[in-house]
Amino acid sequence: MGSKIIKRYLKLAVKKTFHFLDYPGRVGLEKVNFDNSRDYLFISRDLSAKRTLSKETISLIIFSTLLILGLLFFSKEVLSLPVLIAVSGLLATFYLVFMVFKLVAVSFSFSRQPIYFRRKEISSLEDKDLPVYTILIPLLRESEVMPQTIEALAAIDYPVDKLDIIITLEEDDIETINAFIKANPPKHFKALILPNVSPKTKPKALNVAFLQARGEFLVVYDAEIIPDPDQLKKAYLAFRRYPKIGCLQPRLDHYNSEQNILTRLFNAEFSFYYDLFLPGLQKLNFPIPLSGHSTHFRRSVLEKIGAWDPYNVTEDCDIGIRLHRFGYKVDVIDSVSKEEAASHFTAWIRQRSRWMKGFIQTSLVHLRYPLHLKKELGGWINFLAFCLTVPGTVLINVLNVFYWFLLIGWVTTQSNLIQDFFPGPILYLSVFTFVVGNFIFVYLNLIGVFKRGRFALVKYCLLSPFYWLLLAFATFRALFQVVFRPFQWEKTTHEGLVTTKESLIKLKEDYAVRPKKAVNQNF
Amino acid sequence: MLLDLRRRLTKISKIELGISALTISLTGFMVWRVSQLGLMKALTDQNAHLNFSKQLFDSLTPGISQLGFWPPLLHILMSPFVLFDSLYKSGLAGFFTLLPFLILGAVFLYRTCLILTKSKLSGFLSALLFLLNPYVLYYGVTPMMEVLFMANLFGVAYFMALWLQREKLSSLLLSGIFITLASLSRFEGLILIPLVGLIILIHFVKQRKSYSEVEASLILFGLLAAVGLSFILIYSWIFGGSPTIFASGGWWLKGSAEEIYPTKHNLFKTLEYLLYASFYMLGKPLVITSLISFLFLMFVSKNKFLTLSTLAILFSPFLFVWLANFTGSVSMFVPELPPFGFFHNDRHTLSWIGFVVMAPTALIGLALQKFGDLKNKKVINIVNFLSLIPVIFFTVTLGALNLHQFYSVVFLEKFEVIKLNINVPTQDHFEVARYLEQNYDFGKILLSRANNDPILAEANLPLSAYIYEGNYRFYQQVLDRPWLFSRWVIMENPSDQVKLTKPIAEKWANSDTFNHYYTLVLENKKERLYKIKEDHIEQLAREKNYDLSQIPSFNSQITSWDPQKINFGVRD
Repeated sequence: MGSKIIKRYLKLAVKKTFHFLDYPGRVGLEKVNFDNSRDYLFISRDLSAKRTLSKETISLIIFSTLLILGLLFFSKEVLSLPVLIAVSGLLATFYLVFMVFKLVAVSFSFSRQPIYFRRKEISSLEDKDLPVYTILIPLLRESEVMPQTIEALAAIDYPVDKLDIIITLEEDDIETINAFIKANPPKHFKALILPNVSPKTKPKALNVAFLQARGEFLVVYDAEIIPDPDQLKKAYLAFRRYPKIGCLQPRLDHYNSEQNILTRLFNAEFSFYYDLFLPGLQKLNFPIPLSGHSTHFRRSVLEKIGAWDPYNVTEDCDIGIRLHRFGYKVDVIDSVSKEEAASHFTAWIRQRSRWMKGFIQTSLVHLRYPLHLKKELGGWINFLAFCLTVPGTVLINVLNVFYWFLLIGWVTTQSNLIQDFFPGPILYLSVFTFVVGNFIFVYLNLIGVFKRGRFALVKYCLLSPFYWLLLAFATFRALFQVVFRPFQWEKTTHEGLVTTKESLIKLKEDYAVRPKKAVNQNF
Repeated sequence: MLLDLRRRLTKISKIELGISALTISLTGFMVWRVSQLGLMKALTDQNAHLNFSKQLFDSLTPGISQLGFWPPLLHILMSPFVLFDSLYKSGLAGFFTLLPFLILGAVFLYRTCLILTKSKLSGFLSALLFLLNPYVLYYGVTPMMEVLFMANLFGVAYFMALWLQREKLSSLLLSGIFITLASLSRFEGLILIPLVGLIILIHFVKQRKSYSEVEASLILFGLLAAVGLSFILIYSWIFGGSPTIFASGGWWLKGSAEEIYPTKHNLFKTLEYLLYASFYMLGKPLVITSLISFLFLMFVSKNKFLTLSTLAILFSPFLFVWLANFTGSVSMFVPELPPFGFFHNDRHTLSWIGFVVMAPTALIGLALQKFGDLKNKKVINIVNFLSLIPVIFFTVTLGALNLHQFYSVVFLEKFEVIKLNINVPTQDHFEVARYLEQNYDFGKILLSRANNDPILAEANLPLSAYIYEGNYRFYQQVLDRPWLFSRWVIMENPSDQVKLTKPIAEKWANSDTFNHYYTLVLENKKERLYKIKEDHIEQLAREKNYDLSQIPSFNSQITSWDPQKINFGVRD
């Protein structure tokens, strides 16, 4: 009893002293306001990346820095452990925790199957029973993939009168607008010209379109995506069967995975992520940083959480965390969406820098009131899972570079200075995490592509460490951008690989995208 | 997670639980019997394994460098147990480490037989024959690597058989993991990489799989299977200077009695030695029965590739040992053959016991299966029933033969084979150990490890007090001028008839300088023990302007030093 009172007063004292740790009001963060056509920000500013560094974030950074410095001082003065050795020990422990976390998630993924429906269940659905389904496709300078987009959407097996397809276009993006007109899409395709207001990001386009959407359910497709034709029906069945699910995600695959070494490794990374890691996070009920390809939502859920944050460049990652904070579940359906993997170095770097920038933004936003976040996520374990999944991913990419330089430095110079940072146990821990960790994660990539039947990709996965090197480069670029260009949306350029007629035929043959009866008669 | 664990536990059959209980009972009995006969640490190697494990923590240079160039798995697994002094002294650390592996090995054999024959009875019989082998039990309760290797080998055989039957990726990967564990248990495991790789390849070719699937599967399998080999190569490279130094045993074998190779470059002679040793280890009747059974089995087995592959895996250690003896990498002695009267490395032939028990029991299983088929077809008649009699007779005979061997070795011969081993520590070793136990004051003791492990195990001193080859830079420094660092020196007696390479004796046995600084305090047939002459060190310090308090052989406070920086207090 006594200890409970002490604990309560201690908690209160901490909260009073360090305001930035917990949200001051009982309500506020969950408030949404859809009446905002200045920047289409519907959520609370405290949950948005509009302010990259709020005073709470700065306070938290200073507080954390002081805490770490205090710990280092303690280790030096009390434990007689030199500061750099203590840092080295801390980092080695972080690596170990990160590795164990991922392995635990993967181990749980084996007993987690995506939500599956038999063909009979799908075909038994009556058209009249199906709800209106909105498809949002934000386009920007993507004229080259327009025919493919139209083709893929027309192939969707869903009654046309129940489909609410909204393609958003920027008014100054004449080329894409022309391409849309030239493609002469079916009548149920709606083109929405976006108002010329900042920020010019994908989530802002989605928010504008969301106000127009009339579907009970809603899915966001990227321009070049090719979803399984029966994906909407599967999603509807899953939403119907599991009322607690707020968001569904199919697995992602790449139709150009064999194009070059970069696309092969990209595909391997996603195979691991979607087949081995994500299901594990779901099984453990951890917050999931969604990736915005083919995410299906209940409209009612989006209304409650305030749709997307127009200032966050990885709105998908952010919304995944926000869904968890608001108590909604995310799950995976047994369906595949195929998209194009960035196949050129510059395009890949730009895309990955944006993702990493978004991860940084998401970390800064959600860690604004860490105690409040902990409470909303459901406890310290989930809080730790968030820290490892979102900011942890950024940190590990940065640290990797540091350690690779250290390793190269030691191998070439055999410097005692470097050796001194790694006394006995820290050396063992570091070597263990370096060797075993790298081996395990390369191996998991191999298993990921093998399980998908992409046997020819297996040998290329052995090059994953080089891919991680690129990832580190992209992360550093993102760190630069988060400071100097926080809201700049670096558009991923597509190669328009499947825009020729021959390619389209090939695409149909390879990936079974076939127009179904849902195609409009007026087409 | 708990549900998953429960699901896995309920998969364990009652027979497997019975096998586990039987293993515990038999090993419990064997611990008692072996302790009663005083054979728990009868071999130098048993002492060496205990020391390798303990030195991971208790050494002048503790850590991974102390693993040595032997396969390291036993040393790593045993290390938590040797921290308890009583388990280290008694050798029971080995028993506690190996018991789970003995159970695992027996269960794997049972399951493998079940895959081959679908007969629980023959599966149980194979586990029983394995467990009733007196040497399996002996090496399962003492700190040796054989049982650890066998359990992992049986794991490879089981998962490969399972994969050949069902083609589940997890079975393929697990067989790769068990190859790594087998390679880290004994070098015999290394032959499994090409052998199992070949089996996988042939299976895929038979199945007409695509090139890319074959390639991908082999990469997935090979990466896991080669982890053990990679560890051994990298470790040898880092600590031994050459990736292949493990093949010659590294520094440990440099000093051991390994100069006679009676079977080198003679294929048939090697086979003769191996068969003799197998007869001792596995029992002559059982070996002959199993070879004949194998021929029958190949004739009657329905899935010949599965049977042959499984038996090839179980037979592989025999091939490895044959090759190793033929090339002269190791030697083997049996009393009937030159150099006569001794056993040496005879236990290497124990590892193909899987094949020896599996061939006849699988044959029994197939016979029972055939009988079961007839019963199902309701064509059972007196002729079919009578055909069971030879099977029952064969089964009973096998059991009886094994029991007879067990009784003879454990009660009549009282492990004569172990006692006649060339690597049995002598009273001379124990005399040195006792002297040190009673007279040791402080400071380091220089010795070479090979053949001296019993001294380390018996002298009751912290292992950090010794300087030996595994201390690398320290050892090289001390070997150059021992009197400045080492208060005590154990030197092999140069007059000993057993051929040894003697690094310390070679350098200092006839040296006046050495005798100037050391007094011979004990000498027997095998060893000499020296202690520092303090007055001569004081004189040396005066002459060289050394600070006496900085000389490790003189100052009891110095327990370690930096080999690169030590200058005995001389000012530049």
